[in-house]
Amino acid sequence: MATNGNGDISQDSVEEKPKSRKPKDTKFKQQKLPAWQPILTANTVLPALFAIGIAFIPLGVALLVTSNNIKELVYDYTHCNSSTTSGTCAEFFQNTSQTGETCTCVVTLTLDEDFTGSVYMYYGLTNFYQNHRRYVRSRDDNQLHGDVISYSDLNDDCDPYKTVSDNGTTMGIAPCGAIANSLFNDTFALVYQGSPNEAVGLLNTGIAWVSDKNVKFGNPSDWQKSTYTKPPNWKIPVWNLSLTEESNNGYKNEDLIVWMRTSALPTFRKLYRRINHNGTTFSNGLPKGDYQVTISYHYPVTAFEGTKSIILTTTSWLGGKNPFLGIAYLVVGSLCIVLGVVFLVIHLKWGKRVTNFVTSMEGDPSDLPLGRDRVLSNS
Amino acid sequence: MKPCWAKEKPPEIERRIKVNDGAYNAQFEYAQNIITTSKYNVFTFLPKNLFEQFQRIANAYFLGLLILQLIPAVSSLNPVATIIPLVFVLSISGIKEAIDDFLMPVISSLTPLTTIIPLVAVLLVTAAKDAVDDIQRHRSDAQVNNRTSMVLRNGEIVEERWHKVSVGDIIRLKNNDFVAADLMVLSTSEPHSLCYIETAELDGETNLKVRQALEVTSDLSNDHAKMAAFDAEIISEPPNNRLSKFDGKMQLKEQTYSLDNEKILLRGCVLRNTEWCFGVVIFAGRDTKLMMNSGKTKFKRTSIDRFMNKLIIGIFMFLVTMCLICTVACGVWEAVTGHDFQVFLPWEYFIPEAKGSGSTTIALLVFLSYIIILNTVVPISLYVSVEIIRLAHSLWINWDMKMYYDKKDTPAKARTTTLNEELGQIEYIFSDKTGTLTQNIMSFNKCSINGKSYGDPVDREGNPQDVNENTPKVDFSGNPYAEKNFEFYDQELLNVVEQGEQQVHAFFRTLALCHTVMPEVHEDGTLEYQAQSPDEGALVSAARNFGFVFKSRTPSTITIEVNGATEVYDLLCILDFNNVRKRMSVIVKKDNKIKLYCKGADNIIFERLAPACADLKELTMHHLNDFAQSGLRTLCLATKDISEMEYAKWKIKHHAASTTIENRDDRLDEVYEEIETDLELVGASAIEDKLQDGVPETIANLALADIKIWVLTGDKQETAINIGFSCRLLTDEMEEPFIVDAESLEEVEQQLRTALTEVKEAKSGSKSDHVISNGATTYNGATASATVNTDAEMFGEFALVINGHSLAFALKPELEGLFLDLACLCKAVICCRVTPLQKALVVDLVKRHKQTITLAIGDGANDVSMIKMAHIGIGISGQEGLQAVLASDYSISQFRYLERLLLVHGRWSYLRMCKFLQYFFYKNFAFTLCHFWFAFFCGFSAQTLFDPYFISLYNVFYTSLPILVLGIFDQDVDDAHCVRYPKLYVPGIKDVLFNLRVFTWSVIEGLISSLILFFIPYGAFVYSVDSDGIDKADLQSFGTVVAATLVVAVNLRCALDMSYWTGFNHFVVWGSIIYYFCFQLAFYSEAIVYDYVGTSFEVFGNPATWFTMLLTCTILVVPMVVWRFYQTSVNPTLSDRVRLRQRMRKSKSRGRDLTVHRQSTFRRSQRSIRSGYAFAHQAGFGELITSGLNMKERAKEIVTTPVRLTKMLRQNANHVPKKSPTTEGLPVPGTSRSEPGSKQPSPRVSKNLEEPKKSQSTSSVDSVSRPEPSHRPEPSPLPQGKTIFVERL
Repeated sequence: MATNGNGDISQDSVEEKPKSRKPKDTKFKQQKLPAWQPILTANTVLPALFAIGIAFIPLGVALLVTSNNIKELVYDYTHCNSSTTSGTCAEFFQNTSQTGETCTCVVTLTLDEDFTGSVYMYYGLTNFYQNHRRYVRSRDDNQLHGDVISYSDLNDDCDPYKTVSDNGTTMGIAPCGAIANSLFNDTFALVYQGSPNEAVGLLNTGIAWVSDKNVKFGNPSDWQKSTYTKPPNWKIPVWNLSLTEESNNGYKNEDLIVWMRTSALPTFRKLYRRINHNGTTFSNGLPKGDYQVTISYHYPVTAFEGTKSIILTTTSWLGGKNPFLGIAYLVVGSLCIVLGVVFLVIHLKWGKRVTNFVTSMEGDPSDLPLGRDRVLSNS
Repeated sequence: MKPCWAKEKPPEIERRIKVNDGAYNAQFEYAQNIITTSKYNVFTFLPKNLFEQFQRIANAYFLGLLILQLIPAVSSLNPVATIIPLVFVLSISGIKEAIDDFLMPVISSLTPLTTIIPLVAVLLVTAAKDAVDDIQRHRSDAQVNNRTSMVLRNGEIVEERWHKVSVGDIIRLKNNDFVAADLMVLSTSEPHSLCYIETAELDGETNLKVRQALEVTSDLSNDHAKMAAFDAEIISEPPNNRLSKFDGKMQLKEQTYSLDNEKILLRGCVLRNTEWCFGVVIFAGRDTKLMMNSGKTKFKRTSIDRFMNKLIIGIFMFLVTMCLICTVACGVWEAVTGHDFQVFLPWEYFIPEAKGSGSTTIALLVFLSYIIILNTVVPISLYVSVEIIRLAHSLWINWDMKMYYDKKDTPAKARTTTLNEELGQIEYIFSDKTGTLTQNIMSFNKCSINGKSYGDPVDREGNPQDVNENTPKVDFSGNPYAEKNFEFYDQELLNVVEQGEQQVHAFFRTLALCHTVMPEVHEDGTLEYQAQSPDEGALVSAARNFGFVFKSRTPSTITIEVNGATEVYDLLCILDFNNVRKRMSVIVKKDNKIKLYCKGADNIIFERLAPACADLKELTMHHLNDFAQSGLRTLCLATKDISEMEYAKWKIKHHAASTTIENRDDRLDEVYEEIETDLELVGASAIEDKLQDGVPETIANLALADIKIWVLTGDKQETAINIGFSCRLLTDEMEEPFIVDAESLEEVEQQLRTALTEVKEAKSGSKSDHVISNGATTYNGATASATVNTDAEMFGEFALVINGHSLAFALKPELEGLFLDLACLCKAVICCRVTPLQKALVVDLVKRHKQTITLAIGDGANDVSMIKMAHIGIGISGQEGLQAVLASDYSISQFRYLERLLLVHGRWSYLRMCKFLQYFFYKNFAFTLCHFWFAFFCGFSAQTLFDPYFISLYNVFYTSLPILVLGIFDQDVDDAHCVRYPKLYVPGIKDVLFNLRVFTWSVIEGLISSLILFFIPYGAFVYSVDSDGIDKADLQSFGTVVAATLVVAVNLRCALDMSYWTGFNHFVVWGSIIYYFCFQLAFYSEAIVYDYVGTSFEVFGNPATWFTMLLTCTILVVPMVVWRFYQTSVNPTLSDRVRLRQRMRKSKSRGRDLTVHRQSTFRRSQRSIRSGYAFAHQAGFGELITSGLNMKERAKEIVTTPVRLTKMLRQNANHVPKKSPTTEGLPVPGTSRSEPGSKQPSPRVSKNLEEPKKSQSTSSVDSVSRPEPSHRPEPSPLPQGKTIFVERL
């Protein structure tokens, strides 16, 4: 052992000479990498402020104009008068358990001006918490994707709409979960009160995300009709949603897909139908005038103080009507200009100091204005 | 090694050792000679390290979170109980089951993996780092433990590693060996079993010390057989940390011999001037006095770490508050809306149906959910990032070329990686002197002979020059005895020597004769001197180089060789040095002429000069003044011719005095005094205690950075003060330093009070404002700002010098406050003659009472305790003894690198870390609080706004790299400017870059940012549809918009913080943003069927998204830019200014030299001569020499007479002569240097007080004594003395 130690030492001394422990003189290791060292000076900041201002104000104006050019009509029909019973449809559902019954409202919407271009019809809900944590997760994406799974493998989050027990037999629910169960089921029919009256064609496809329709939602090869049943609130099973149009049936039904894309906020609109512009009357959109809407009122919202509305709107390249962005751009742009002016003044008044200081530093380093207050004040 | 769970041994009361009886000794289980500084071994690493890691609040917090998240997963294995009594929801099982079902979904949105992975990563990274650190320690331990020593085993000397040496073993040491353990000397190669040791490692003193074996054991000599048969029993004191005291006895053949410190060699000493030496191990390993002195290894953490722990508690409270708000709101929401919303979203089956209790139950459960969702305010990645950044900073230090010392091939090394940013906050530096500030090399630098000064190099015209590497050295090659490393720059002196000028010859003859140096002729014929002090050695060497070679001595002769001719002098008497006399003389006889040669402190010599020398005296004084001003240690030389008659008379007196028993030393001193009169001045010598390179500049620059430097040294007061001056710690602009050297509590208190009053008066005189009135409150810690203010204001031009024994009192609880008050008012503090433990106590005192960061720097084992105690310990590497480096956190090879380590690396580290933390909290608050705002729109249901994967990746992939790069590379000002403007360091000391205020700002900024980040998209996307009418206001799209904006804005904000954009910065900032978008596109694509499939195309294909993003980022970034611009233009910090200037320079590309040109020494002395005299050692070896005890030739002749060295040796160790000869062999309290820690004052203490009149320069009776130069013509505040001289010249 001891000799070993000696041997090591001699080896070390031999090796030591060529192997210096001197650090490498690279720019990286010496922290001397070439670098850009930006400083916020008046020369950069003030022009930037003015540039932002000058860019944002016209942009804001453009956005605002775009938004204002969009025609939009919103009609809240929560408390519409029933055309079949007395009172409102809301009361009709409130008073008795009228599940499965239909209440119909007929309302007239008046367009004050022509809605040119593509027109879309939405339903809007408020105070409807589609973004509630329990609500959001109450679905089974595998099921919706079209995977064939047994009902016991459904996502537990679907409870209490995962399975239903009827006379001792347990059936899975297709599609399971609270979202699907609460599918919006009011329907609307739109008739133009012109001469003559003409029903407006409503397209129920092309209203969902393409990716959803093509990828996320799919129909199973086997509906397993013996073990699956419809959600409690539904009238028909999912495989019968659109018997006429196979591509819009089952989980691929676009009304279902639109509903299943849960909203971010408790106040939301969902696309109900596209207006069919193929006819002659509506080829340029909806002409101004009265429209009669027949609403099959099924969906209860008054219990939780929600509202329902029907919306007709055109779109722009930017989407729907929303003046927010335009106004915000105008405000921010103007503020930048104001700040620019203020700082221009400040710079002219104070800027000299800095220059003075820097030039004074050219002298002896010991002359540094090392006022401690200064050192500390900016921290 | 003993397992750690073994039961504790009872404390030792005494230790019994049988020499050569391993079996007997083994029963006591004395510590082996193995030293462990490492913390773990293979088996203890995991539990110990984990335990340590979970002491960090954050880790524990995350573990708690993890458990919270895991609960449902664990219990989901059990089938859910069928019926839960709803009435007992609040019962434990109820809650448990409730959590099962309730938290499950939370898990599906925020899996425990999001916590587990980062937590495990943190633990692993930290553990790996700890392991590396510990392996390093293991290695260095092994290096020490595997040093070999020669051990006697079974009558044979075998080579054995240190860690196998055990108590009771006999060890053989060679010359220049390190002593392996605490030994009792048995026998040595030298006569009378003397041996010499150097104790620099232990106490920083560099003079040789003598140890002597017991007479009975010296017979063992080198006889291995005898040695093996030696079976004494040693009974010693238990292990302790008193370096200068040992109590014990040895029993041999029914006889008892007492043992004291003179028989003991301590671990860490080096054997010198002794061929071999045998000793028996008494204390080994951790029981050695060296290790007992080294203090405990503490787990050091930076102040920012500690602050962060507090912050995390604060943040946790904040988190709980937010969760409580959500809980209450959730209860209300469920009662008002949720209960009715059950049409579409029924409550879970275990929730009570009643409105009130149902809502309450849900609300309570939501509390836990929100804790989990909002926990990202303290991301685990914070700690990973901090560790990574610190590691990088350590690497910068290791890689810095400018801290690499090529002469020793030693780069700087960060030995721990966790303390870097604290290097930027140092307010107090505690420095060792020997080996740290000085090189411990004395060199003969200048002299004044017969009124002429030599030593300053001049050019041909006779103009003085500065010494640099190119200055031609005097060529001594004509002299065969010349030493290669001797440097002298004045050719003139050699010329006059060669011309044979009498006075010059007398000067060198004095140097060659008047000393107690021992010559040693090596086998190859080279002559080497063994000097008791380096000063003496330097003087004798100087004489040698100038042709006056001291060749040999016997007890009665001195042989010198003058320019080839041998001269033999009869040595009649050595009038030895001691601290009161401050001079030594020899009386020699040659050619029947008796002559006295004397050297000593200037004022002492001047008092004893013959009146005829008056003119010469003034000239010399003028020179001495010059020498002293350049920080040299001076001595005056004088001679005297003595007639035979006179000598004969005196000899009788001397004999009488030396044979008296009582007051022998005093009597001798009186006799000496008689003969040392009417001296003839020869000249003065000036010795330079060579500072390490760049020390004065470094100290000056550090002082400019408001760093206070205290020097703690084991050296003598005079030496310490002298060094203080030469390294510019003390300057002439300062007032005279206060000297505290009293020896009792009352007197120390008196001295401290007087000094404090004086300082305060001086301060109130100069500044009539509030300072003094605040003085008292400063210490008691008034408001923080007031303290800072007054501290800064009162930090004035005073200096304090305190002695070890006074320090012992000053550190007592009664006085420590007073002492600290005074010391902190002084610009420089020097503590001399302090023990290693006292060094640590001083550091501890400052650490405890001042909320500042301390740094200790040293090179020897005696600095270990202070290095461990201070917040940051720095070891000077490259020296032989590794102890200091081993205990240190950083090692550098030269003191001057400290400047760069602190002002550049420390400052940058601190700056980077502060920027990092500030930003990190900002970005996580901005991120997490979005969930809080979203809570108001989702019925407080703990729904996450973002994709769970985004939440997991946000801190790891999308935002971590830019801030990491900033934390690693950023520099506001380049290194040259950092050094040039030391004031840039001040914000670190004041801790203004990251404190509660800054943190609060970050949080508020994050809060505002999250508001903007949430509500601008909210405004833009509330009913968003695209141009095809398809609605885009769904949760996934909205979340993606906010997330994308967040990533862009937060990265831009980071970009705004960057002041040094290297390629890496560009890469990571823009890269992070681009990476985010690419990843989202890929991850949400149809290739991977994930919940969010298609979202990114829809969102990023929507122009509204981009308009929103642009708007939000503008709103977030522009105010920040404007605010910073406002700050830099209206109220710029020094850093801003220097940056600006740096840029202007660059643009002008004027390559002006940036090296710091400080004023060269412009010093006007207020005192005419500083007593910088060159006797570093204590009482001399005179008696040893004249008795011939240490001379081999004579040794045999006197060997029969029993000589006890105890007294001599004690004198040697004491700096004051003993009053009464002590009884032989008995351990006497106060033997050698007094133990300042001991309770009762030692005899020497009282003795010193009785004799104040004797000491002329340091009047210890004055309550605040300042060395009043007695020879100053008039006590005038002006440098009159000097002016007068100039006029006369």
